[in-house]
Amino acid sequence: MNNTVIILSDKETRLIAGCIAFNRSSQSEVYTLFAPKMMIVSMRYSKNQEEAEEILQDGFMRVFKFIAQFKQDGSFEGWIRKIMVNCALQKLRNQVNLRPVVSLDTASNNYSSNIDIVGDLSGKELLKLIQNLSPAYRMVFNLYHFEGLKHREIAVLLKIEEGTSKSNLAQAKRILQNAVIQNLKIAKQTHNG
Amino acid sequence: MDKNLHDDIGDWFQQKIEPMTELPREELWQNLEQQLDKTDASNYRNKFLTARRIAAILFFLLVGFATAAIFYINKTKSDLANNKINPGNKINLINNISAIDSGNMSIIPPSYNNKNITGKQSVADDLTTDKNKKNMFKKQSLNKPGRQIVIIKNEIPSEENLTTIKETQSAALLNNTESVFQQAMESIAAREIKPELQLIAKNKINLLKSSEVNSSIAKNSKKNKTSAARYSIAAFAAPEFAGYYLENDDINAYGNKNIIDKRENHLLSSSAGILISRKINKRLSIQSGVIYSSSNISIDPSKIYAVKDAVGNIKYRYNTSSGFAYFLPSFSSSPNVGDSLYTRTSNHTIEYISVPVMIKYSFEKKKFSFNPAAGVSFNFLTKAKLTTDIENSQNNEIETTTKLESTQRVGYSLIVTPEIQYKISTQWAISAMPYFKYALTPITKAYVVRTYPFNVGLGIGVVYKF
Repeated sequence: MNNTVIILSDKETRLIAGCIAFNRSSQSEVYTLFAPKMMIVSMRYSKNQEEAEEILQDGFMRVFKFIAQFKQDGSFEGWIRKIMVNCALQKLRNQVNLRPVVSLDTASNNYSSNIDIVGDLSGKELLKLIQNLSPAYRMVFNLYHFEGLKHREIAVLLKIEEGTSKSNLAQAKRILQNAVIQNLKIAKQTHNG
Repeated sequence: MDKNLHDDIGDWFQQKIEPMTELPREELWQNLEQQLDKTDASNYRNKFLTARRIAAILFFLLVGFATAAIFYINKTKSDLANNKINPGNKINLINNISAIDSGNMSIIPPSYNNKNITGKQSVADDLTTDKNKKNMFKKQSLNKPGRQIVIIKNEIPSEENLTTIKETQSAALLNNTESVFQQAMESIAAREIKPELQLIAKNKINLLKSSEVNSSIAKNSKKNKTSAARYSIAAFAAPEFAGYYLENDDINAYGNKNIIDKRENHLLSSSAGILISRKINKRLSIQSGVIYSSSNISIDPSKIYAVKDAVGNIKYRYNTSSGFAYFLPSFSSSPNVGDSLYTRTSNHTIEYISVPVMIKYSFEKKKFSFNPAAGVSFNFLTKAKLTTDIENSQNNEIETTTKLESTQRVGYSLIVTPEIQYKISTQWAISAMPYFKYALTPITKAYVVRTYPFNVGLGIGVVYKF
């Protein structure tokens, strides 16, 4: 078990103490400091801006509620991020429709280059592609690539089989790959036209 | 399909998205702030809940001590007054008078209209030679009733003094000593002593008799004023212990009384109310009013199971002694029948407004009046709240409901109280009202158990008679 104690900056320590004392200015400062980053985390797990904001709001409410329980065995930002991910997972569990929104056959692959293809798309466009994934695929993709979880851990967290997690990830990646190629194709046609 | 693109796409996405930031809408912080305000308000309420309870207990203790102190002071006064006329004192005094009667002693008061009255032997001389006796008289003279006795023995007052005495002696004091004093005076008057002394004694007897009449008139007047009060209004507050008697109903198999009884713990509850009495006759009154009661129950952690509700939806059912509630936590919104979740310690609050109707029998002893009363109380359920923290291995959610199923909204109880009142004045009194309330009808209907709550409390309050 990892018992590493992270030394927090003075500012973080001060802010945490303020939030424990329900100090509104400290809470506001924490929000201002971490909301922009956490907004992206929320957006990765949601299908649109509104849903992302809901996750962000719920997440920060939990942060302020349970901030006294924060132990310095990881960074403060990491702890907040974990809470955001949990909020997103909780939201997913409430959703009934888990079908994919992008068909597997949306595009054929005619591209041989790799990193340049993704490099040509902006971060926002890539984020949009993730949001277009079905909740199940999006969740597995995020947990695997962004949170660094293993399939076994994802399976426990989402209450699915490990094999399902693997196949969901493969499917998600395939969808994203096709979507990227499709997007570039359209961009190229527009550019040439 | 390009193998590299498929394998690395996740990492590329991560590299591109991870450093990104985006500001949320400004309204989001405002919404958050509103929610935080609500949470703060809730925390604030909970923070001072304990302080309020302690303050209430301290208040009751203070009222209790004040009542006890008043009672003690009054008792001490009464004891001191009784000491002047206790049988032993009476005998001593009469013995002294007998000694005067026997002719062996003479009364030589210091003055009577500047004339000395002489006898065979001076009691005053005797007293001056007996220091112990003198001290005893001095001690007695510290109290007003005793002063009369000192006057008899040491000084025959002048006519002017007699008038002053008449004016200054209170009816209550005379009340206690007049019989003894009268005996003494009659004894003196009956003796063959100088006519002047006899005259004084006779005057004194007349004075006593008139005082007695005055005192009696005053007493009757007071009595009439008190007895004229037909109504009384009492406001009280009471810490109480609440409990219940459970019976299995066996309507369904979702629980039984042992399970419920084992995990529920009653916390200190409270009641407050206003009662109005109206005298029917000298002894009997009818009493009614409004009583607000709040009972708190802490429920130990337990397991709840998903069942079909009345309309076929599957929800988690939580049984309490007062009814049951359905919960559907967001992290387990589509359970199957038989699925289970754990609950942490839960809080259950029941609030009632009761309207008692009682018959009260009153009798008085000195400043106390005893008013045993019994009757029925009609209880109206105003709030049944259940707050629990539901959890599974990864999530938890705090759920609150004020909608309990199978709860009887109206019921009635037996109420008995041996109330004691202590009069502060003719109109005001302090009341100590221990009471026992027992539900005659269950507070549940069509449920796994029939619950008959009971409450034992000690109400402390004030009474105003008019």
